[in-house]
Amino acid sequence: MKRATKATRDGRRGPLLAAGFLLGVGLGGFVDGIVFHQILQWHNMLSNVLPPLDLVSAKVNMVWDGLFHAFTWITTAVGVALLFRAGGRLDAAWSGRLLIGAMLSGWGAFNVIEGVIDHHLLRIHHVRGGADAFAWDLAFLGLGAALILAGSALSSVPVRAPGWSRPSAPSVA
Amino acid sequence: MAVFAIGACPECRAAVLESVFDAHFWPRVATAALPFVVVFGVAWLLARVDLGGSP
Repeated sequence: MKRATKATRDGRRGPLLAAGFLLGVGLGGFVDGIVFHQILQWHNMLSNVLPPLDLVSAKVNMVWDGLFHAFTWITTAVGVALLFRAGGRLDAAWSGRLLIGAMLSGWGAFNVIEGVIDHHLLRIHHVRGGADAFAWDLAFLGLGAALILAGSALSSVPVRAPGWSRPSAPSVA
Repeated sequence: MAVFAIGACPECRAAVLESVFDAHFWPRVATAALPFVVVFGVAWLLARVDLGGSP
């Protein structure tokens, strides 16, 4: 039986980038949900249209926060599935640095996308309500942009495929 | 089961359900899903656009 041989070409980045991106969105979404929605209780899903000022409206916001977490969980699960698939592809790049970079970019991109849609366009909630809501929303976008830049810098390095190509068919003497 | 039945505010449940499943329910589901739809679109593009890799 022939041994597998080292791959010598760069791997395709797409599979690992997509997996890391979705994992970053999911884990970043959980940070958002756990820290802002639950611990600080600033950022409830409908807090700008249904302020949680009494128990009923707080419970209604809790339901919509739960839906946000459900979407976040689905995104994370898809990211894990894509990561598993990328790990099994011989032509796909495999690099911790690329994965971490894609995850940071995903987290940042989600902050920017969610911030623009929910905070600025639809205005269903703000990072923190009150007189300085706009400043908090801008800071959230700034954090997202910084994460995208950091992730892009990390992931813009040369990477190689996992290292082993398929063994060729044994030759018949 | 008894704990679930007494809850924090059993008399709130009808009001909560009424407020969640009102005329805005589906638009709010769409609103909550929208950022995720966008990020799945970006991930789809990333999986296909091979930045820097060899063909």
